[in-house]
Amino acid sequence: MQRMSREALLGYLMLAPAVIWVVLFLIVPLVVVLVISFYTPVGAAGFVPVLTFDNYIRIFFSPTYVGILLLTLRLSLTVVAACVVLAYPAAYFLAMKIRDEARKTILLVAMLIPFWIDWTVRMLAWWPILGRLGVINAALLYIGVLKEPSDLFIFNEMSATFVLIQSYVLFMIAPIFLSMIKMDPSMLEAAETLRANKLQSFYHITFKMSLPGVIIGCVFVFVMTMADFATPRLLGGFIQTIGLSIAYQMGVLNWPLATAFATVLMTVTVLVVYGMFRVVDIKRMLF
Amino acid sequence: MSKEEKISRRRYLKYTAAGVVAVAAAGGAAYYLTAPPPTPPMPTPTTVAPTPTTVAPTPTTVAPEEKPNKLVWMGGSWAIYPEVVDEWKTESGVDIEWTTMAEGEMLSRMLATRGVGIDLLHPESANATPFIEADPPIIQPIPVEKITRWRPDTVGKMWTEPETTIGTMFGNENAEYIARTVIKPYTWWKGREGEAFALIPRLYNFDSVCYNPEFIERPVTSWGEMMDRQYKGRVSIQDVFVIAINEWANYLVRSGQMATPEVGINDLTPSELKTVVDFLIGHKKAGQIRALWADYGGCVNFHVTREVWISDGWQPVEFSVRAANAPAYYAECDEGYRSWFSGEMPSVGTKYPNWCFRWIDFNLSGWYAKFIAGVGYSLPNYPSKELKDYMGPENWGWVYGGTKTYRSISEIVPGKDEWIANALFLPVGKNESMVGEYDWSMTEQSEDPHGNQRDGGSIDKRISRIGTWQRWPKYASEYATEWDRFKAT
Repeated sequence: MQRMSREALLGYLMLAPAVIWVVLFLIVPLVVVLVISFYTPVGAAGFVPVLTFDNYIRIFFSPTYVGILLLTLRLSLTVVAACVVLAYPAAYFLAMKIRDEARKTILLVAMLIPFWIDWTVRMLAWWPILGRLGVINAALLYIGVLKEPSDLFIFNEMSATFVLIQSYVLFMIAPIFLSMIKMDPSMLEAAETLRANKLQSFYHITFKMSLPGVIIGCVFVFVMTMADFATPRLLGGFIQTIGLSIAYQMGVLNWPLATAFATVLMTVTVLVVYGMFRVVDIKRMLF
Repeated sequence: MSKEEKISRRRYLKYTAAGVVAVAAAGGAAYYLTAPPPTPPMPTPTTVAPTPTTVAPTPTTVAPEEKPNKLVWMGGSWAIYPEVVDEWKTESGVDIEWTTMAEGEMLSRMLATRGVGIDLLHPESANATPFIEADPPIIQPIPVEKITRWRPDTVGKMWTEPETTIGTMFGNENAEYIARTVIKPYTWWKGREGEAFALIPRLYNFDSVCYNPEFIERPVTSWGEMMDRQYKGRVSIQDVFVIAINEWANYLVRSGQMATPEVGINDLTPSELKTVVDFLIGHKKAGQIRALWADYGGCVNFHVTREVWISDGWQPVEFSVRAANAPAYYAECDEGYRSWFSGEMPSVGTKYPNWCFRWIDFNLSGWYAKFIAGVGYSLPNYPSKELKDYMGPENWGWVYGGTKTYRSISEIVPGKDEWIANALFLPVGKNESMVGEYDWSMTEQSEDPHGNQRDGGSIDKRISRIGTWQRWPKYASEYATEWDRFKAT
């Protein structure tokens, strides 16, 4: 091996804590999770290191669990799609239409305000908005759209989806906004000079250059939604996500089944994220 | 950057990662080979007979024991209150550093640390078996002489003679089962009954049905009323499967809709589980259940916002709902209550066992009894003179004796009919409907015929109406799977 330069050695030494941290606290726990998922549960709580596929068989041959997995996937993809639709115009407006830096900063900070409130309070605050005696019902009763309060606005998949979108849309806005402000405005001027119409210059320049931000936002939102089990539990009524099933099995100390669920969840997430990165060559577009 | 440098960087990363993995794996292997499995197997329901040869670990008592600055406490959120910690600190000069968590997390921490740096644990008895059965032990026994407030003559008979007191309304048919499988094995150190505790039961309750009298204008007398179609879409049940399934199994068995379970109502086989969950799925499909409540605050919110009219719940829920000036009653159901208890266990790693024992004893004191009665729970040493003297005859009588307040409800909650006024009475604190905080008399007087009576009546009556008792079921994982089916269907 070629002798390392002093600078290279220094660089490696600086890198070492991060590498050790990631390996020790990410890679090793993941390996442990994977290994335990093949262990055999015994009794009402506990397991022995006898390898088995039973935990995975129990998941993939159960219509309940396949259904829960598909619902989780559908919920996450719906939230991602809605976040893109809502976040893209917001990010575009912030990055491309507001020239004044102070106004831009004020609007960005304003978007963070809901996150200054404790998560549990933020979740429970939806009750007086979406509930039977909530603001929406009251407004609809007042204008005569409803004759009696409706149960449609809370404790179902729709309300869980809605609140998940509200919780995570900022994680979509931020990367799109960042990818847009990196754009060189002279490119749009060049397109105009070359007689491209507004739609063409938006598609070929703005949209394509913001695509890495969209994909990164999609990855953020998708990963967080797949793992979120508290929002569906508090606001989703009966909807059951894979995260909740993991929590249940951990609650009864069936670690092998819970880790098998976690492995499945992780695998599905990685596959979807891989698929997203296949849409664009993120490395080429970012660097 | 040259190609050689890139390769050496990759190699560097690879070797570093491999090195860390190897060290971690070696450490893990060493731990695995020397340590017991992380979670000990749970006993089967028949594992109850104490083994005379069992030797309990020697407490790490060192005399004289140094006074700690603080004790580190872990337990359920229902079991710790800042007011209690403050009072204890004033009395003892020792702080309590408390963290609330579920039993699974508590157990993981104990297994990872062997209890070092942790003094006290407070699990619910239904989840206490892994703590009790861990080998090597993670808790230590509590010698009876250290708990001065627990004496045969100061403790209710439910704790000393459970076989003859529990569920007499049902002919005691499951009292022996509950005593044998729950109360004795969770309370006493294995093989040392009468000498050392494993868990001091310092909180217990008789869980039932909470309902709003604005919408339900007569006393609820059955769990089955939650499935009455006139309350369609206004019902909630708890999203904790071992609890919810136990409650509905109790209802189905006692109302003759399900055969007596093979082991017990609280320990169903997979086919019995299916019967209960199928029953719930039928009602869910009919739109009977509005939503599930995930935590205490969620249940209270449901009632306060009138989102729900009737749900299962704990008696503290009733008081918290009333505190928000929403009326609530706690039903006395024909099928009986679902009971449970929780309590303290000193960690095997504590350096201050005697201070742990003092804390436990404090939690059986008169001050604590009065405080916790206001929350809605009961203490095991309710017959003691100390409790009666501290609480006074009116408060003690209301909490444990089944007697009414000395003042009429119309004086306490004026301007409302008795049906609603009684559902707004708070034993501690006040709400907008009450004229002020109720001042419990410290002298014996006669109860007012229109005074408020605690829902459920006397403690003896509540004990006699215990239908089932929470315990860790053998097929716990199947409970979770069936609950997944209920929710996902």
